[in-house]
Parts: sequence; C-alpha cells; structure tokens
Amino acid sequence: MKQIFKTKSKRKQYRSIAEYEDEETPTEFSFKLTRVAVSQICRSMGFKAAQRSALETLTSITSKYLEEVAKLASSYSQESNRTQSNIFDLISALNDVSSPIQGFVGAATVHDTCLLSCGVLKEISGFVKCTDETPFAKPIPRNYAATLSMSRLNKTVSKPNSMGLQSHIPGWLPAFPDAGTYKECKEIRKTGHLWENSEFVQENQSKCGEVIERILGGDLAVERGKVSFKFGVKAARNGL
Amino acid sequence: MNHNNQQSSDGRHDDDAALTEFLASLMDYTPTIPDELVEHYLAKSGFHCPDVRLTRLVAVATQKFVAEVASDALQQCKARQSAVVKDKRDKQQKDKRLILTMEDLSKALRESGVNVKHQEYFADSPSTGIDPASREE
Repeated sequence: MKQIFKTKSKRKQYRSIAEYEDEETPTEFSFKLTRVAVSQICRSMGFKAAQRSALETLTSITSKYLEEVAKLASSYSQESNRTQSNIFDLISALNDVSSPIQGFVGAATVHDTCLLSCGVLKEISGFVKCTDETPFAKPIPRNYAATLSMSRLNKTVSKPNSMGLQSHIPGWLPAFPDAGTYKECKEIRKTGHLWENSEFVQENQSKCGEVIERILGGDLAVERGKVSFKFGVKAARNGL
Repeated sequence: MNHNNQQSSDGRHDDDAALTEFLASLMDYTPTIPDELVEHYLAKSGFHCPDVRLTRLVAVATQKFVAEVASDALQQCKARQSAVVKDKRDKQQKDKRLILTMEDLSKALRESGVNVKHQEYFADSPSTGIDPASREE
C-alpha cells in the first residue's frame, strides 16, 4: 500500500515538474525555430537523435551566443558614436566572443594588426568552404501583421508625403496613426455644430463638405458628408 | 621603411579583397540558421545594420559555433560507446545509435567555456514517469 501511495505521489510530482517546465521554458516562436536549426546542424554533424534536454540546452546557448555577439557589436558601434553597426564592430565582437575561450590563430595580436586579416574571419570562411549548405527546413513567412501595418503606414504616410511633411521625419520613428483618427474628429465637430444649430448653414453644408473633402481627402470625411447631407435635405423637405 | 609600408598596404589590399570576396560568397550561401531568425535576435540586442551580408556572417559564425560543439559532443559519444562496446557485446546494437545526450554535451560545452551541470536525478527518458514497481516486473 505504501509503495503504491508513494508512486502516486511521485507521479504527481513528475507531472507538476513537467507542467512547471512547460511554463518555465521559453515557448517563444523564435526559440522553437532556433531549436529546429540547431537540430538540423546536429544532424548534419552525424547525430541520429537527441535528448530533449540536451537539445534545449544547446538551443538556449545558441540564442545566447547570437545575442551576445549582437550586444558586443552594438556596444562597439555605440562607443564610436554610431547607431548602425558595421563589419568592424562585428569582427571585434566575434573576436571577443571566441578569444577568451578557445583562442584562434593570431589572437595574441588582434589589436596590433588590421581587423580584416584576423583569424576569426579566416576560420569562418574556411568553415563556409568546408561545410555543405543545409538550408532551413521550411521558409519562414515574414510577420503578416507587420507587413499589414507597413502597408497601412505607407497609405497613411503617402498623404502627408505629398504635403511635404514626411521629409523631415526620420525613418525609425513609429508610424503615424491612421489619418481617420485625428482628421475625423474635426470633421464631426464641424458638421455636428453646423447641422444642429442653424438652417442657413445647413443649406451651405454641401459646399462645406466639398471644401473639407478637398482639404482632407479622407475616406471617412466623404462618407460622413453624404450622410449628414441626406438627412439635412430630408429635414428641409419635411420643413417645407 | 617604404618597402615595409608598401608591403603592409598591399597586405591590406589583399585582406580587403579577400573579405569582399568572402562577403560576396555569403550572398549565395544559405546558412542553416535563417536570416529572419538572426535578424530577430540582432534587433532584440540593439544591433542595427541593413546589410544582409553581416546578418549572414553572424548566422555563419553561430552555425560554426554550434557545429563545433556538436562535433565535440559526437566525439565524446563515440569515445564513450567504443569504451562500452568492449565490455558488453549484447548491448552493442542498442547503444550504437548516435544520440546527443546531456552528458556528452556538457563535456563538449566545457571546452568552449560553458559550464553545464545536468541534473542527475531528473532523468528525461520516457520511462521516468512509469511506476518503478511495474518496471521491475
């Protein structure tokens, strides 16, 4: 009895550990993609199978390696007051990543000689020549939402562009909100005010709408104009 | 002195040419780690560069790193198996499959400066959760 009870409790423990692991391990898309790439590399080296924990360890180390290289390169570029990194930043980052651990040919004279002739690059080019290409298993689609927002951005930005607003805005700034969000507001206020208050302006509303359309050129402006115009005409007819 | 300078400048030209050639060859080479993934990690860490060749260079460097670790682990695996095979011939066929295990990986990673200590009591074989009593039977 005791044994059975014990095993049950053990099972529970295992389950809870598994659940905990599922929650704990990064379930991000990028991690999974890295895992696929890493397992492909392992297979190309000659492995037939892999323990899950070993594969995940190697995957997380790979992603950390990538991040470390990127961080070092960006810190090098920031040191020399640049926002964009270049090949020299990247080479010195690769030097830094590989020199304290394994060492490479010419590691002792890294800072004396030209960066372009350093051993790391030669090793990498040798690696590229030696190994066969094993492309990623599946082509990754670019983020659909991102492309959507980009197309929307192009739509919205193209209008201010014609007005000459875009030239001074740097490319890295976030996108302008949809034109309807800040133009529509004015429009409603104008029409609402005119439409509710006086009949005289109501008659002129069509002209007003046209002017607004000409100024704004937005889709929403046109629709609103039409609606209010019809209503105004009906009211005028009823009044007559 | 002049001669030396000339030599060094020539050397630089050669290096420059070699680098340009190498970077150009990266445009045709498709690394196992896809560009999109590398770009994601680079952007996450603040690396900003529109040049695809640099992304490829990072991808190739990472691939080289992983491949080195994997080949080290493979050597460890083979060495361990050859040691085991001498003792037990029955298990030869079972154990001959090349499996990436935590044991070999941690040895391989230690050579590249990563200390991984794998948990000895949390075995990750599928038989872990099975009732020990039934396993004994």
